Amino acid sequence: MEKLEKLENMPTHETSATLTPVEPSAEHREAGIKAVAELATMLVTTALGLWVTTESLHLGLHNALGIGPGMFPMVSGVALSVLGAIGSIVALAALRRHRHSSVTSGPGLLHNAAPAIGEGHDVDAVVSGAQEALAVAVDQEAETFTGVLWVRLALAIVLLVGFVTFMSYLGFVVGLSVLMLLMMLLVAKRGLVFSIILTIATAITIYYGFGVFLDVVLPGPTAPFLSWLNP
Amino acid sequence: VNSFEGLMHGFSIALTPENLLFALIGCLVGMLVGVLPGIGQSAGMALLIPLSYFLPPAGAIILLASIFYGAAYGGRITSILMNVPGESESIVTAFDGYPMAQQGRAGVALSTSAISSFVGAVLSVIVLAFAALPLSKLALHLGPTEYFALMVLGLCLVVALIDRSLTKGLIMLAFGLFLSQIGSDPVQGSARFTLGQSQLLEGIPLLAVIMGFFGVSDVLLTAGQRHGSKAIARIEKLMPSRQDLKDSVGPTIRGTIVGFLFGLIPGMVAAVSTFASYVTEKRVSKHPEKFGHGAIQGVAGPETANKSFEIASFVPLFTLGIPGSAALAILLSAFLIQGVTPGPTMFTDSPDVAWGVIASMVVGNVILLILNFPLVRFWVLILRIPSDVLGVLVIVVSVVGIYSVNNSIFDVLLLTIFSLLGCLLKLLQFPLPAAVLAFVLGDRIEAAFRQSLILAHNDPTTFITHPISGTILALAVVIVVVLKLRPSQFRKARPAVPTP
Repeated sequence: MEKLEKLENMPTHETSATLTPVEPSAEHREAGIKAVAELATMLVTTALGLWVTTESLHLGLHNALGIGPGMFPMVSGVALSVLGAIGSIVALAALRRHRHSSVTSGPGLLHNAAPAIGEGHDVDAVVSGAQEALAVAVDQEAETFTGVLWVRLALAIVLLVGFVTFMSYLGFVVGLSVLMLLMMLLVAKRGLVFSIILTIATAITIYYGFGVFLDVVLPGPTAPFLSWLNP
Repeated sequence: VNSFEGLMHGFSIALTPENLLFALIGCLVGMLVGVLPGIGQSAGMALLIPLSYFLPPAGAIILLASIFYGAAYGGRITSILMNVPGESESIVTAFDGYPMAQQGRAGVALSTSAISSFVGAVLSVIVLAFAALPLSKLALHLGPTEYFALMVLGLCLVVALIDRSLTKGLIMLAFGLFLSQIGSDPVQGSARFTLGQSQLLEGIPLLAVIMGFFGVSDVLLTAGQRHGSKAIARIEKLMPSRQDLKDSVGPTIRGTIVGFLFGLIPGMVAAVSTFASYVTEKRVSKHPEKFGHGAIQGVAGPETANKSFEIASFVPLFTLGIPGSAALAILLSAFLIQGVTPGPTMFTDSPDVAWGVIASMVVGNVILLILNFPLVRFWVLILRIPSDVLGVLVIVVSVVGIYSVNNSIFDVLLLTIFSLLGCLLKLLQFPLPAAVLAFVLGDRIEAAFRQSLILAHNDPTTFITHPISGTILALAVVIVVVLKLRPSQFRKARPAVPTP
């Protein structure tokens, strides 16, 4: 622990040369995951840009009317591919720097500024942050990779895709009730009784609110065992 | 119709029982999303947009606009009582609001900020009402070339202000523009990037993008967080003393001016105006050492600036049709859904909506002022609801909402895709508001671009040779360069803040 504290207080170039490897900190892992994810995103952006550019050329840049349907998308495509390529280079460099260092940089501006909020410490420093108010605001909303409950996130997405897939079979209200029940049980991790009560209450509200009051067409089920639900 | 007559006509619309109810619902939802950290005003508006399809134009916009300015009221409650800013613009309020609460003056901080906000809002609405009409008449003289330049300026400002990484900001702009180009070409009708899906011929539904990026992804990322466990300051005395009110007069006036000026700039965010107001108050104060220890000026000024900023941000939307933020882009989409086009012709084509919404801002702020005191405890209790349960409810409502608009399950699939994409991009700190603004403005930019070139016989120099558009585009470049340089200088010069 003492070693870790010492490590955290040292500049990057010094630590990589003089210290034996230690278990990476949470921040270090976070930075590593983020660097890889950022590189992957930039590469996907570049690929998307190249695809958009190619398609735009097929659409045609000019025609008898002047500007063709492909001209404006081509600007987006070129911008995406060029910016994606620049971003990839920057992300790759960041990833390399990360792999060569054992210490991550300190927390962001908000994390530095946060202790001063409301506690009367160093308000001057916080006030001088006005120039970066927006950057601070953005940071505040940003989540961390390690802080995200990935299993819950994946479950929620899988359940939503499942709802889209099986909606016509189960019908809208039943399908949505199943989605909600599973989300309450698996994503929110609530008890069965509480989940069932909340699901039934929500299903009734949706049926009467949207189906009856707002007159939205909520498709019935095609599943034979649910045919009794169809009017 | 002059501005005064228009405003009076607006009150006759805003004060109908139906529209009063919409304003009340909007204010309550706005305060709710303001109280809940992680769910911003954009998410709140996005979640209620499907409902607006079923409402009359004026009522729908009043509902959504009330959420827009109601969120600021909610954000300050948790800032003062719990040191948990619900919205980014409420961060500054916590600097002195929370120390006031710790000194047993939570009620005074809440009431003073509410009164200051109200005064700031009313003053700003008066300026908005009397400035919007002449400005919109002036804007009628602008052609597609100038509109193209103005929209580019707005997007550049968003990129320059919103993110430290210029690359990420520009990628989001290009991505938003690309999304807007999916579907039929507006001139020839050729299918673009539809991947053979007939559902995409009409383009990607705006709601899927907005609800995915701001609604569902927000709740997915904040699932499992609990904010209600923090200690809540007690409210002992509500009414401010005469000295408190006297101390708040100057900050309220200055906050109104600062907030209004910042709000006029498309792409600016309220957090900057609140910081600027705080800095101003500290500079003019005879006792700057009291700031950070419960100075009432540090609460009244920024809160007024915040409110004034929000009202002023309607000026570019109402006069030019250009939204300055993601939340206003959502409002723009609601206008378009209702068949109302914000911009210079709105005051003549849809006076009921234009003046009704402006007048409803005064009505809404009266409602917020009244609701401020009795509901404080209720909002704090709301924070005790586990965010994951709330999140599931939000997801279910989003699914029903987006389905109900077109009766399309394909839209639900798109919502799922954009929710996942929103989560990933937020984690990587890509500025999503830039993508949404570009997406909303994309087809208008393309139309203006093409019209300009047709008028100029395909001469691309028309954008530079037209004096107004050339100046605006040059300004856009200068602003991006200047604003992107400032943070790096600032980082070098910024003193280190001690950590505990």
